[in-house]
Amino acid sequence: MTSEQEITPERRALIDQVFNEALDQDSIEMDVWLRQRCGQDLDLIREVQALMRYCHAGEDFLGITTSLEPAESLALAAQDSVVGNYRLLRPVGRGGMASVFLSERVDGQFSQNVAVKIAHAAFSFEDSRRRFEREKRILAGLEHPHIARILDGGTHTNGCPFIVMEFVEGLNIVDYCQSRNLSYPQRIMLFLDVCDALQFAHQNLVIHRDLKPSNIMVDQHGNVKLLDFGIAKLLDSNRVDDGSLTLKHVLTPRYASPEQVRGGTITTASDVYQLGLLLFELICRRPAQDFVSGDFVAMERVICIEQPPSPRSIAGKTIPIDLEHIVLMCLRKEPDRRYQSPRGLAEDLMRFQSKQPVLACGDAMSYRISKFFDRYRFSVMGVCLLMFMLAGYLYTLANNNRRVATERNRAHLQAKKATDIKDYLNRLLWDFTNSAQSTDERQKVLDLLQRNETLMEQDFGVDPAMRAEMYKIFGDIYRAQGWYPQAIASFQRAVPLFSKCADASDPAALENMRLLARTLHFVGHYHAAEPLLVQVLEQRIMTLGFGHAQVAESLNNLGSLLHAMGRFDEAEDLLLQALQMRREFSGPSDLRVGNILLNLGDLYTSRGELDRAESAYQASTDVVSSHFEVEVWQLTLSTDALAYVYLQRGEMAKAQPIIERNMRIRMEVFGDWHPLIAESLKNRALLYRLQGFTDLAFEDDECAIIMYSSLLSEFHPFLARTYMELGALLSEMGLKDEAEAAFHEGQIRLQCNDLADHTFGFRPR
Amino acid sequence: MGNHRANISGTCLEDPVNPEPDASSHPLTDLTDGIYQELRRKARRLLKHSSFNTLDVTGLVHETYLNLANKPGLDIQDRQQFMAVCVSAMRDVLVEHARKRCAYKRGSGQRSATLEPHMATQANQPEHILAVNDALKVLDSFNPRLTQIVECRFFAGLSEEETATYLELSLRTVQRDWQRAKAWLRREMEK
Repeated sequence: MTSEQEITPERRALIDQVFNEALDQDSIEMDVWLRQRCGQDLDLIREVQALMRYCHAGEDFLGITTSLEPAESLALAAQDSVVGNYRLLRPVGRGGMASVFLSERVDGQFSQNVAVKIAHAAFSFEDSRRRFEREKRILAGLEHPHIARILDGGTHTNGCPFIVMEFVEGLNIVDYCQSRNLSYPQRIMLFLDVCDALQFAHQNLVIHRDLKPSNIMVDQHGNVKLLDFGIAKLLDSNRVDDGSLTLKHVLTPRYASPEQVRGGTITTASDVYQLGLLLFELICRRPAQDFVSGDFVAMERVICIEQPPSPRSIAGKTIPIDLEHIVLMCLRKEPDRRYQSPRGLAEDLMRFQSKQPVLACGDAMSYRISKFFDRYRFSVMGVCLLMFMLAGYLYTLANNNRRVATERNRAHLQAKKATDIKDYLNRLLWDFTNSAQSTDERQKVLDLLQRNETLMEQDFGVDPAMRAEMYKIFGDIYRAQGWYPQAIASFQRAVPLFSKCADASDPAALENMRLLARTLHFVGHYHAAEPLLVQVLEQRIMTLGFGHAQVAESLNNLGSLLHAMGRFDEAEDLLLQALQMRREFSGPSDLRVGNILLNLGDLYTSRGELDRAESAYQASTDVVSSHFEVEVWQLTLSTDALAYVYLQRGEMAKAQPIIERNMRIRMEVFGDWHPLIAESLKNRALLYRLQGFTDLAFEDDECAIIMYSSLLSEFHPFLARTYMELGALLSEMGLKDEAEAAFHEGQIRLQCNDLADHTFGFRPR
Repeated sequence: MGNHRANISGTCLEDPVNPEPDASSHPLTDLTDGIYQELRRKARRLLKHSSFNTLDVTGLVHETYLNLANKPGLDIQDRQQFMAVCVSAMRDVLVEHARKRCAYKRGSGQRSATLEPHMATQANQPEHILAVNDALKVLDSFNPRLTQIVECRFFAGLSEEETATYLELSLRTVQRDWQRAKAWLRREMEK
């Protein structure tokens, strides 16, 4: 350590600091960055560069393995050791977790050579041993011409598990293709065999988890054999059954999927991703995920965020565009947007081979939109630019669709794309409006959206179907954001367009009409909503038959509307039918069953049947809370209603904690300016009133009134009810004149909505 | 080298027979002296009776942590400091042990086993342990936290997750620091 005297600790601290910063830099621009950071200090640059190089070294130099007695299992190779019934002949490979030896049977029962794979780590629990045995049996049952068979397995004397499998002599698939200089069609034929083997394994509930060229051998007859099926998991049985942790240790970065890197669930879609990597490499003759460095941060970025390179940009324009689309579809970051199975991939490849249109289509634009979303999440400009990109995207889509031959494909793709776009926009706007604290900012977003809606209208002037779909998307976005008048306008614009290009029973047209009616219902235009909902219901019954999940949806919508209009008996009839149908077609614990129960509960509350209301709300709460995926605020709908029932009965102690908790939850999710908050305030006002805190009750009621009238409309039916309650409060306080005025306000709103004096229950959802 | 951890390790390396002459002046000693002494005793016993085995030492560290977590009156900071001391103690014991084995090897003229190069595992070679230990002294001179991470990962045989838990750091920090530490070690060891 002579250098210790030359470099002071202070100098090292500086090197370390620059090194630490450098780890965050893009590896491509590293040199430029270093020069800027270090200036003339060339020595510093050299030091940091050296560290960066070392940084990517594995742990091998420190000799860290998870093994109990690594020396023992490895030393086996030195003499000709015996493992189980097999004599090890020579090592043929070594990985992070296990070593492979060419072996033969000790008793000479078979002359055939086998491969013995021995884990470096021994079992640490009895439990692991049992799991190993179980999985070994499953894998041994996996008989397929393209899968190397597992012959045997057990535990060596040192406690390390081992597996005996068919020994395949040959080259790995990439080397094989390269050495014989195979053409693309020949490569694809081999690849289809790989898909076939994987599909077979998936059907037997086995995921490969570690698909890479070195695990796919081709023998001299050109037969493909997949090695190491599920072995990654099998040999690592020591760990608790947690795929993510396990795989992080054995990960081969070049062939890792995003969910492996992120530690997500490994599914068959991970195998599809790895198939995509293989197909890429077979076509482009280089790996898709190539790392200059083994730097974990860079690796994570390349695998989880960066768009994969396009095969045509690497291997040239001779690669057909459809083939490129197929590869990129496998390599999507989101597992559920890839092919759903190896067979799906194989079928698309075969379509490509027979020159039929393929299902995969370019992801570049939607990818760019998502990138955009990441970058400009919080900027108003961002929304604006996004709209332009979206316009371009829809335009390309329209063009592509003409290209695609079959009508079924077209409809499928279009629907999928529309959903994608809507999801992106909704996510974007959701975040955005949540971050937009002031009404001012929200107004800006709204303006931009509307301006862009107009712009897009000009772009898509020709195709009524595209325009209709676009208006529907916009309407949906407005609706989700609580911009109801704008939502209604958009939905209404879509109606004539739909009727121009589709017949009355077209599902998209009906959905548009339904959303329009729901929005009208919500803002209190009950009479306008009713005929629309009736029409949707009739059309659905006509085309789908009476028993259908969508019919149940329509029945529920109409039932809840009639309830709001005070037609309780009709409403009950419809809601009960909806409930029964929904339970039948979607299962008794479907989330939408909870929704119908909630509407029923509201109806019973309006009628004053508190016990029935309570049990409906309770049932609704049970259904909703059995879903782990729902957001917590969704539970506040039924529990708040339950609290209202308690209040009606005077059970304040039961109601109070629920009301307060729900209000907190809603504020966290929606901020303090939202119809649901107004509802919470109204409930709290009632609580305060019953507790005798009239001042506090007054404050809350007043707040609720302001919120409703500015968020919904001046004459919204909700306001009628709130004014009525305010009137009751004021007269309790002895303020007779003020109470009169409040009642009067309530009456006006009931009259102008043409409602009887008992309008209850409808809440935003 | 101002921190107490380095202080203790320095002392006991010099004088393995009478390990902690100044341990009483240590701020944590009052609280945890018992555990600490016990730990070192156990580690020594372990190394005396078995061949070198990192995992057994790891087990000791785990045990200590559990012991510590159940001890009333220790706050997070105390625990964190103590785990650092404890892991550092493991390093001392292992280095001490490696020295003895080195001396023994030299005395008997025995050479380390020759294996095929790609299969050689150095982790338990005493020379290797001593080399890492030397390189670590350089690290300690400018970034004691990196040293702690190496002590946990290399000497105590903890996983990244365990290191994060025991030192009360985020997993991300541990991964990052481990990466940095490895680069430095490698650089120092290849000089």
